[in-house]
Amino acid sequence: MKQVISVARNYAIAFLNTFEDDMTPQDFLRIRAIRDFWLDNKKMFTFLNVPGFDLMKKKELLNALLKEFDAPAFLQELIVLLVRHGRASYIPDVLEQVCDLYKERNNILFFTITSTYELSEDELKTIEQFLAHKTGKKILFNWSIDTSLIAGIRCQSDTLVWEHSISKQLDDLRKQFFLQGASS
Amino acid sequence: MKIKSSDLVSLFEKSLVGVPQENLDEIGIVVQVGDGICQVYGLTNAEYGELIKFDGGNEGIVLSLDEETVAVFLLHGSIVVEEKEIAKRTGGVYKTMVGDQLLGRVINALGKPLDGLGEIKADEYRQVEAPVPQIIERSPVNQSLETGIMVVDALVPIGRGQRELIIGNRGTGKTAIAIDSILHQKGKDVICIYVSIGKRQANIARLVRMLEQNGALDYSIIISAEASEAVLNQYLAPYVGCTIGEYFRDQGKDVLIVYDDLSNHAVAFREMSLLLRRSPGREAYPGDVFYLHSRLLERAGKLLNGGSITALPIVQVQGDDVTAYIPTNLISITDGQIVLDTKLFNSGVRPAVNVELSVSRVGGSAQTKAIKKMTRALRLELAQYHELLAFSQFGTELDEVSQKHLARGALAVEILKQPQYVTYSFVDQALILFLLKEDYLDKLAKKDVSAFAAQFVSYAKSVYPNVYETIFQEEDVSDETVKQLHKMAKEFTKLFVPPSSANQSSS
Repeated sequence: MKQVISVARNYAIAFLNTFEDDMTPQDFLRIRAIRDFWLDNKKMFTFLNVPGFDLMKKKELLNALLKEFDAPAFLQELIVLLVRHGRASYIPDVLEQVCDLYKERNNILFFTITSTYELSEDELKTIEQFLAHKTGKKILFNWSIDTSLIAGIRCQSDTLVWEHSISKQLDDLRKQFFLQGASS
Repeated sequence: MKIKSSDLVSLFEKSLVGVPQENLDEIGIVVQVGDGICQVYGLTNAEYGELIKFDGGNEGIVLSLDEETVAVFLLHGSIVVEEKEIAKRTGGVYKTMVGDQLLGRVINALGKPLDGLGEIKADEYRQVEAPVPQIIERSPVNQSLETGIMVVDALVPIGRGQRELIIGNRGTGKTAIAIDSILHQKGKDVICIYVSIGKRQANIARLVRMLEQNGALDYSIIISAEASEAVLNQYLAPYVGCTIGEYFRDQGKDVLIVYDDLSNHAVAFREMSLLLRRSPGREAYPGDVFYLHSRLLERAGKLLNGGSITALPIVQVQGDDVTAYIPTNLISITDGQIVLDTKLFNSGVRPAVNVELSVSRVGGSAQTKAIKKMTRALRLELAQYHELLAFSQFGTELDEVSQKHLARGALAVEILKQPQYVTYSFVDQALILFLLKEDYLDKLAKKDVSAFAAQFVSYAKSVYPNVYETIFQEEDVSDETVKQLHKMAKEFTKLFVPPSSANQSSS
């Protein structure tokens, strides 16, 4: 596993050294989305590893996929290169390394914001400012609705979380009772 | 515990009006769980020994920091931790409760009461991995800590703040020495802490009952990490005990702490290290197993504020081999050792202390003068006895001097025998040792020696209470007192009726 990560990191470094100036935060979000899609549908891409299939056919499929995500053209070059090198199975790892490196180099933190209702632009702006103020980093985010929070907001990155929700309060209460019950 | 619905509502309301947290929590994701350990991805700023809280309610301690992940040992075996669960940093190391309410209680390494006597209110919480006291804060060991066991107090005396290892084979009376020492502290304003590591529940229950029956539980605290508990609890238990001891020590009190036993503790640490995939060294222990015990035992000592922690670590050896890895480590860390011998134990010498191998490196300066005066030649006499005993076993005909040495040594061995749960004050010990030193026991039959000594002590207490009190107050035996003791001994020798002859006459 360590070897895969190391190889993936080398590809990511080479990719960013070449295309970092062309890459926008929106591209970063698209690359993340493609990586997630790839991880969820790994089996779909097994044929990329089969040498018997024509490279042109493989390119056609990749084109169609990347078009769906509105991915930049330079990303396709990276993915085709990996397929040509017989390393199609490395694609999600390479994309992950690209994201991590991009965040590292550009002082970015990516958050997933979850709320119980659709947040307005202003509300999202306020949350973004709060997170930027607390972390001292540029914030990129996507957001989703999760009614299991009951009420409130949850902001989570790979390494940080901020939550103020009813479900958290209930969970804290549950833990409190559980620990009291266990000690009595 | 029953929870009223009104309590629940008020608690919930209280938590709702709470202000949102100001800062973001640092988190990691559980990527692997098993064997009481989990690997957490993230937690990039986590520190060694930091307490980690899991979303599911479990807690753990960081014990290894790798490039991508940290290894967290779990504290609660009963709470499930799942893959992809979120783990949060707390920013602080693991703390244990300390306070006066712990006295008389039995708790586990996490501070949970095991005696069913209800919750314990902590006075404060302290880090279990506390720094050892600085040199400047320490005071020399110069005050005796009586164990009430004559062979120990006479030949391997223990001072307050000393670390004296008790070492021996399985079933040679290691725990008995420690327990007798605890029982003897009754009324002496010494707080006793007994840390049980990897022992059976039944043993602990028996110990608690025994302490309770002897009125020793009131000044004692028992910390139990049973053999069936998570390995982390067994690892933590001695540190928790020491932290509780430090609380009392900082108040200027004297503390006696027994670690029973550190060989189990080392085994628990070995298990943890192997699970963490650290390189095994000698006997598969990790390289830092010495530091495991040195940092624990260095926390014992006497401080200038008057408080002290006296540590009695126990270690079990296999086949009387004191040169094994963990025993030699502990021998080098501690200020002396009480070695218990299987052969002595089996031949009826109890406590089975091997006086030739046992030593107290600092206790001599803390020994009561009264005892010191009475035992000057005792160690030498016993050494000569054991040497000659080996000769006599070959059937060699011995000269008169050697035979005298043998007879005297046999008397000394006899007088140092002591039943379990019976302890002597230092005055009692001084009186008994006086009889041995001044040859008042020489003409007695071996089986009458103990009875003579015990009755002499009672005689002195009841007929000459002023002499008894003088020794107690002065902690010394002056020339004047020696004269009186001679007078008392002569009187008593005339009065004494040996139990053996009394039995014969009655039959």
